[in-house]
Order: sequence, then structure tokens, then C-alpha cells
Amino acid sequence: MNRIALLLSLSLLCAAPAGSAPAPEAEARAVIDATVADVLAHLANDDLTLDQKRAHITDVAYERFDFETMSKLVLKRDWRKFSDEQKSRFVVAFRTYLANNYGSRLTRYHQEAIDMVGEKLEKRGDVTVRTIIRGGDASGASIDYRLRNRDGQWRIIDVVIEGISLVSNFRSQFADVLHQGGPDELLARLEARNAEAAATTADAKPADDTPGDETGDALGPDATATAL
Amino acid sequence: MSHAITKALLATTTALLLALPAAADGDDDPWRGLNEETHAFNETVDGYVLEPVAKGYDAVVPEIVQTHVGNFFDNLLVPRTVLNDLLQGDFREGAKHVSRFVVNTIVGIGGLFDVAGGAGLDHDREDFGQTLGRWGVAPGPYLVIPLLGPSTVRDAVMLPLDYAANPAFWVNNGAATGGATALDITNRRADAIEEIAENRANAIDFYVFVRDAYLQNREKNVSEGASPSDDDLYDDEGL
Repeated sequence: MNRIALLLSLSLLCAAPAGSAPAPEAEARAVIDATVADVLAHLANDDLTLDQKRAHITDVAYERFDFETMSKLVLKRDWRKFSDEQKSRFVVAFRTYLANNYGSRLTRYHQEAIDMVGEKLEKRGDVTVRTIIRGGDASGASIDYRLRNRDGQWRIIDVVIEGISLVSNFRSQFADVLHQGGPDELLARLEARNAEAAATTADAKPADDTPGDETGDALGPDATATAL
Repeated sequence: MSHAITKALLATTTALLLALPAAADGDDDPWRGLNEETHAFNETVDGYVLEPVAKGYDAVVPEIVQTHVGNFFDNLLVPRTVLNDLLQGDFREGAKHVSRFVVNTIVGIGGLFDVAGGAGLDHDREDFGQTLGRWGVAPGPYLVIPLLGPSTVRDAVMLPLDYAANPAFWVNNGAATGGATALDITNRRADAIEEIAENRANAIDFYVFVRDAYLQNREKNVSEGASPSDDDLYDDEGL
């Protein structure tokens, strides 16, 4: 029996033509392709309520994002300061925090399209898949996804919007809190934010989404000249 | 302004900019205390003036009109972009933006309609700070400017040039310029009411959020997407 199994697997090996394995870039891109198509289809579906859309997006996110790796990248050397119990608490809290933070923005979607621009192989075998929003106020905005293959699965470990990396941004924000109050302080704050968000689940009124104005610099040099 | 004073100012500015150390990975924010105070001041002004006015504007002015207003002011920025395209040696981009300006000003009736955008001639804004960045000048410390918001030393120094490159600057009517500025600010603020409110509410540290987002976005605009080495950012070995 063992001999037959061995022969079968050997024959399978020989049957596979050389170079038939899809390139990592193509695999990662396929993941993003499928995810984007799925999310957009749900957002455009008028038969679904806002809550149903949010719930589905959350499910997709939990599946496609590698929150454990993201947590490590966000906390970096501070990750070791967390006990095992704190680590799991953090991954859960961070995951919920992200879902709350970004889930509501997606529901303001106004039939924009997403163009796939290209894929690039990075160090450590990661792949960056680049997309651009077409249509709506955020037209032309770039959204890059960085995916890492862990245990045979390509999952997202960072989203870079117009050059702003989620991982980097949260790392900066959390670093201060950690150095002042330690892991417990950070966990407390994240969990408090999550509780607040759960309490206020009012539907956001549809409005324009402009990534470039997130920092509130409406008065920046781009404003019409004033006498300085 | 006398020739000697101009020369002196230029020399000082150049010396200052060249002296800016290349950004160390450690501290982008050596003036943090001052910046946080200015940030708090800007937040107050926004909360009491900008945001309420923008909300009122948003409620009253039809979306299509807001779009036209936005197009108008964006069009006024194209000359500055063209100038900086050329200074950066981006002749193709410069030509594209010249076409955009001509088409939108004439066919788009003074810039109200973004006809060129529809034809694929997007506006990839360039300013003097970005040009200096392309020439190798480091951004220098993070600096929050009262009312104007986040910036860096390099970009703040170039602000006067940025303003001068805007055609509206040369209109000899203070009231008109002032009114136009207020409209521009209000319209842009109205575009981002939800976004900013959410970011404020969600951020664990809004000051750091703004600083980090601004610096990263700025770096992307300067390097035009040529990704810097991110070895450190995505390294989870040993964790």
C-alpha cells in the first residue's frame, strides 16, 4: 500500500509541468481581485441594509487580513512586553478597532470603481498590489495592499492609502501610549474606543470621501493666496 | 526691495535649507511641544469656526455647485504645478498640465468644469516644497503652522513662493481675494467633514495621527511613489 502511494505521488510530481505554479504576484493579485469584487458587489447591492453590508465587510476583513502579523508589525519590539493573554487581547481589540474605524467609511461608497494598476514582488516574498479609485470625489487616489504568504495563504498585512501606511501610522500612535502607560494602558484605550463605537451605531449620512483631506489642512498653501 | 536685501534673504534661506539634516529614523518631531500647542489652537479654531461654517455651507449649497467651486480653485493651482514640473525636469507632466489649464479655463469656462479631467488629464499637484525635495533637500523638522496646519520647515519656507505662483495672488482687490480665500477654505473643509470628524474621534492620538499621515503622504508626493526602503516596517522576525 505504501509503495503504491509513493508511486502515485511520484507520478503526480512528474506530471506537473515545470513552472506551472503561478507566480506569487499573480496569486496575491487574485486575492485582491476577488476581495474587491466581493466587497464592491455587496456595497452596490441595494437589497442589503447598512448593517448587513457592514457585517459582511467585517467578515471579509477577518478572513483576508492577517491581524496577528499586523499586530506584531504595529507594536514591533514592544510586542515582547505583552504577556500571552495581553497579546490575544490586543489582536482582538485591534481587529475590532480597525473594523469600526474603516467599516463605516466603506458604507459611504458611491459606485466608484477600483482599477488594478499592478503588482510588485517585495522583500521577504511579500507582494504589493496597487489599485486606484476611479470616480467619485476620491478619484485618482491610490490604495496599495501588501500581502504576505503565511501557511500557504495570502493575507493582507498593510494598506497604504495615498502613501499613508496603516501599520506605520498606528505604530506611531501606539508608541507614545505604550511608553507612557504600558500594554495595559493601550489595551484600555483601544477597548474604550471600541465600546464607544459599539454604542453609537447610527448610520452615517452619505457624503464625499476625500482621502487627501484627512489631516484637515483645508487652509494649506493650496488655498487661494492671502496677504501673509 | 533692494537688491542687497534680496540677495541676503536668498543666501540665508539657501543656507538654512542645506543645513537641514537628512531625516533620521528617530525623531521627525524635535519641536513637539510647540507643535502640539499649535495643533490644539488649530483644533479650537476648526471646532468653533471652520467646521460649523463648512457644515452650514454643505447643507445649503448644492453638491454640483460645490464641485464647480472646487474645480475653479483647483484650476488656479495648475500654473504653480506647471512651473514645478519644469523645475523638476518633468516635461511631459508639464505639457499635460498646460493642456489641462488651457482646456479647463476656456472650454471649462474659467475652470468651473473639469473637462480635462474627463479626458484623462489629471492634476498631480506640485509645489515648491516638493521641487526642493526632488532636488535632495530634506524636509527638516515637522512644523505645525497656525491656521495653515501641518508642514515641514522646507515646505513652510517655500510657502510665500507657493502663494505667489497662484494667479489669484496678483488680483489687486483685497476684498475679492479675501472673499475668494474664505470660499476656497470653506469648500475644501466641506469636502472632508465626515472624514475629519471620524479621524478625530477614532484616533488614539489625533496629533500623532495627523503628523504621521501628513509626513508619509508628503514623502510619497515628493518621491512620486518610488518606494523607500521599508525593511524595518515589515520585519517581524524574532517577534
